[in-house]
Amino acid sequence: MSTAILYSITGIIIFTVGLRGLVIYTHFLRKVLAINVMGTGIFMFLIALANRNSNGMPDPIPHAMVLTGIVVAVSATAFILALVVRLHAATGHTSFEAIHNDDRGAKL
Amino acid sequence: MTQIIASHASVWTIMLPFLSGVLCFMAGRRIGTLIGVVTAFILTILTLNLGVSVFQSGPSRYAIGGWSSPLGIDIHLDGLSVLMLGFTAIVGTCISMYAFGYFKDRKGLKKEKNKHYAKMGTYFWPLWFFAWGGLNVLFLSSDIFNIYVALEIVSFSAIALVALKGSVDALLSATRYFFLTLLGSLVYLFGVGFLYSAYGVLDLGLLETVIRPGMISTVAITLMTLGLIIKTALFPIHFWLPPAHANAPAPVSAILSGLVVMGSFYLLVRLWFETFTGVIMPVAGQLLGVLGAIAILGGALQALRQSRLKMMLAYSTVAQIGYMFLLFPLLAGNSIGQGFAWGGGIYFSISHACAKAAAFMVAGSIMYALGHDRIKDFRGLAQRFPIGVFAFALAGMSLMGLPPSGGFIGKWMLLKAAMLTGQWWYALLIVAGSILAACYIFRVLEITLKAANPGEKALHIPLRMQLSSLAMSFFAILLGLAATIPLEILKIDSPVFFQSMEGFIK
Amino acid sequence: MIMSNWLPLFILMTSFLTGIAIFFLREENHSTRSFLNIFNAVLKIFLVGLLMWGVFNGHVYEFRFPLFLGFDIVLNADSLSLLFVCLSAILWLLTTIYAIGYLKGTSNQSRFFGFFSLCVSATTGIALAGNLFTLLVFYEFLTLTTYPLVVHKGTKEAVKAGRVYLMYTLLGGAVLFFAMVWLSSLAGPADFTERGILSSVATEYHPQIIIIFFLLILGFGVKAALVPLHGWLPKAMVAPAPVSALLHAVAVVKAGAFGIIRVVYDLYGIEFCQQLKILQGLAIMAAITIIYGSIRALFQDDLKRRLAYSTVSQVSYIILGVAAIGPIATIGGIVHLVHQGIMKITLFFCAGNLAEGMNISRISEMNGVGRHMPWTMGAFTIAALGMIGVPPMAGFISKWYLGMGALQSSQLWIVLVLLLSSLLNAAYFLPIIYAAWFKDSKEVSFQGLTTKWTQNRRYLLYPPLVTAGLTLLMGIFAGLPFSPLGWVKLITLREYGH
Repeated sequence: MSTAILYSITGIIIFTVGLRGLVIYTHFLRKVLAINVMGTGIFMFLIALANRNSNGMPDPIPHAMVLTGIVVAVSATAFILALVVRLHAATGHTSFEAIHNDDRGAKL
Repeated sequence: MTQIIASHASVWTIMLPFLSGVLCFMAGRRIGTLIGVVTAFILTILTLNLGVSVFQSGPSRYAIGGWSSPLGIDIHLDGLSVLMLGFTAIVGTCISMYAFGYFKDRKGLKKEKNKHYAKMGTYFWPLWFFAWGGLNVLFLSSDIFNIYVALEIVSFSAIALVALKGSVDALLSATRYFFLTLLGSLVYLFGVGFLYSAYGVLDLGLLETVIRPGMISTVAITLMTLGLIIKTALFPIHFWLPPAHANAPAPVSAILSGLVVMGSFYLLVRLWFETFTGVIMPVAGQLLGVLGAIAILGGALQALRQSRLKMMLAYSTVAQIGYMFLLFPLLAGNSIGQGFAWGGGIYFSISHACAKAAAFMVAGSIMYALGHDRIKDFRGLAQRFPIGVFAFALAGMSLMGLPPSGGFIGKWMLLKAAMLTGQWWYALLIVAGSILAACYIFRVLEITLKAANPGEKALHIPLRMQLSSLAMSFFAILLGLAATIPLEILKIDSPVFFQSMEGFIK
Repeated sequence: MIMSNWLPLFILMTSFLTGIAIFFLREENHSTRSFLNIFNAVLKIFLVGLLMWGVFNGHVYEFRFPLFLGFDIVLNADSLSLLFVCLSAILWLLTTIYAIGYLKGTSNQSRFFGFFSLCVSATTGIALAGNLFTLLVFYEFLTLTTYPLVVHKGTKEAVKAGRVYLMYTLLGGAVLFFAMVWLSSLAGPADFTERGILSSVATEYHPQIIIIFFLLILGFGVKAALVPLHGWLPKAMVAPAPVSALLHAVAVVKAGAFGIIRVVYDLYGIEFCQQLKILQGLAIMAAITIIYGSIRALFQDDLKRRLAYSTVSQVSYIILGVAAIGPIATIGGIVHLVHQGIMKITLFFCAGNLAEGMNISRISEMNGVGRHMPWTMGAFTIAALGMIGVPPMAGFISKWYLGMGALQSSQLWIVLVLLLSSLLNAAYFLPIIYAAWFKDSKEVSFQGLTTKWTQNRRYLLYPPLVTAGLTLLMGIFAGLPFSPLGWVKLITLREYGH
């Protein structure tokens, strides 16, 4: 049982680490990775839940949720990467700030 | 065959848009467009049917594949979900008709430009139907994890729709939208995890019976609410919405502002007042109310400062979302006002969907004709483009809350709830917000009524686009004239005691 | 018998559907448009006549359409509403004829006549409204439909005036909306009833009821142009003459005044008002408006602006009559609703004719115009004398009853207000009449009347002649049962219940 709690707490910590990354990093790729880290934290948390039955049988539903979640995460990552590549090709920049500043510079 | 469709109608409302989405993608632009329009009409008929059956035989549940909860996923049909389905179908059909004209080749445009529209048209239809399907899942599903998946389907299609134009602005808005909406989904999912860890069920109905107040419940509800607030773009996390809604092609703006906003708001209402009723603290409702209040005033003031019509409408959406969130503090008050708060908030959200979709369609038509949407250059539009300006004025009536319109009924009910629960400040706020809305709507109308600049060129707007925007705005008005029907539907299996509707102290 | 309950709705629809139909007409399709307009206006008068006959014989017509949660759209024909409907129906016909001539050759006519008809149906709706909710719906509808008429010319000035107009009326509407919801949460969806219904509200809520009363007055006062809420009215003068005529004589200002009448008599009830002691404040507001409007009118050189300030002043006679308790003052106030409408519309028609026929819009240019446009100035003179209160014109009747009412309730100050205002009326109307008939225009040599005038003379001249004639007839035959005065006596009898 304590393993499950340890896993859950680890999951929460990973989620916060990812959240921090999403907020403070400006590079698109880092933001994408941060989102993935957040997702991983949640999956960890869900997997820990599967182990809470007293009879030792794992609960299948969290597994199903994690599997679905992974599929969503993979497609999300692919999707955002495609967007970022397009943005980079069009502007040559890889962060909101850089594009924004450039825009302003061009107008001046 | 008809028997099968009839008995599984609710599943078909989910299956059909996804199927058509795939078909549209494979068929290419020309046939895809046809498939799209036909599907939209079939979906409308289907949902109307569902509405009638719910009206006649009450709420129902349907276990997908015969596997009922807790292991399987249930579809639940009650007044609220049927109402949402129905209005999504009506608004969706008008938008589809509009898009039918919007993505066609434009006479008088250069070839490359037309090619660009053709390309957008090819991808619009599949993405739009995925979004529609996702919304229908959202309204019907009774499983909080399944709902998460639905939210993601809606978000991804919406983001792709925002990026449809391919310009730097569009890509940037889409990227910003992506990060925020995904953050929202993940936070929501985390909340789902917490709930499951405490209660071991995912079904909304089952959760309602087992949920108890406590630390974990509070954390879970907070996370889920936070996630949905981000997705609904309530102040202070609204900044992603205006660029995303304004930079998209007009039919997409209509979808986003009209339907997608309504979807996540619906979910929040469903969770708070059905599943979490016993657990929610009134303070939390007040907090959402304060955020809503700031959104109403701030959004409207920002809308007033915009020089582009679509940007103005997008900020107006921010303000109108604020109105919807007044439902939370008003419903948490005493019991006399509850029915009004519940009815008013939901009524407001559906009338906003109709009115805002219509307004964005008109904005798109104006852009189609003039090639820009700078408000100060709209002189003489009322004369050259009367149907559009008329449709905009009707939609504006609903946004301002003038009678007879859906927005008026919604505001009236919210105002009444505020009066009955003694929360005067909200009543004043509702009125103040209406006046601000009048300022930004009439700012546009006034310029269209000015005498035209001679010799300005404009493309001819296809009648199909004009009529669909007009039809949409008529619905916004119709909601003010035939309010009994939606409200009767809303009463079916309503979580709030609706009979206390005389609503006066005597 | 069921069919007859639809009669109020039919009356509303005659003008509403006309408006909608006209929007779809092509701009060049003048004859169809004129035919539709006039045919439906005549039809409306006929239907109103039918309704009047029924009400006189004690029938009750009520059309009810449930909107939501106990709130109904109610169209109810009682004696008071009929007075207003009848006035608006007749003036609609006359103004339409006038407008057809006035607008000949200008652009956007379909838009103009469409909104014009919608505006009349909004007025009809206000008149027939059977509860406060319905009244609010049509009141806002009126705001929306008159706005395009005010900015019709599309000039900078017109747009500016439209903005001021909207600012005032929408704020007024918002106050009204707020007050109405408040009231409905205390007393439910209250239908208008003769002698009021609010007296049944528990005493502990009386302070709230009083606040609501003043909010309602504030909301209606904007359209009735009570000082200091009158700012929009002189500005709205940029609109075309038929609009000024319609707005000032019938639609907008009267809607406000009518709303106040409804609130006092049929919502609160005159006895309950007395009990709450709220009418004194209203009477003072009205008195200030009467004097202030007259003084401002004195200093206007622009004819339409002088008429506008005169309207500000004259509409408050109605409110004064309502607020000065007692049946006789009530008769004076309510009958002035009709009399002022007829007289003021005549004046505006004439002002429009001067502008069209001789390009004159200032009083200082009016020297000797009576010789060139005798019929127009004749009508103007009759109406202006009526406004001052010279017998046997209709205006005299109103002032007589108002004064008698004030004496009856021993409120001498009201009599003084009336006398002072009549003096002021004379001071700003008599010089115009004198200049038009007896002064010579030395500075400008007469160039002849415009071709537009000579071509459209019959459209532009007959309406003011008819209304001027009515001004005389209503004064002379005031004693007959179907004269406005006779009808108002019937209303008063029912409101006071004895």
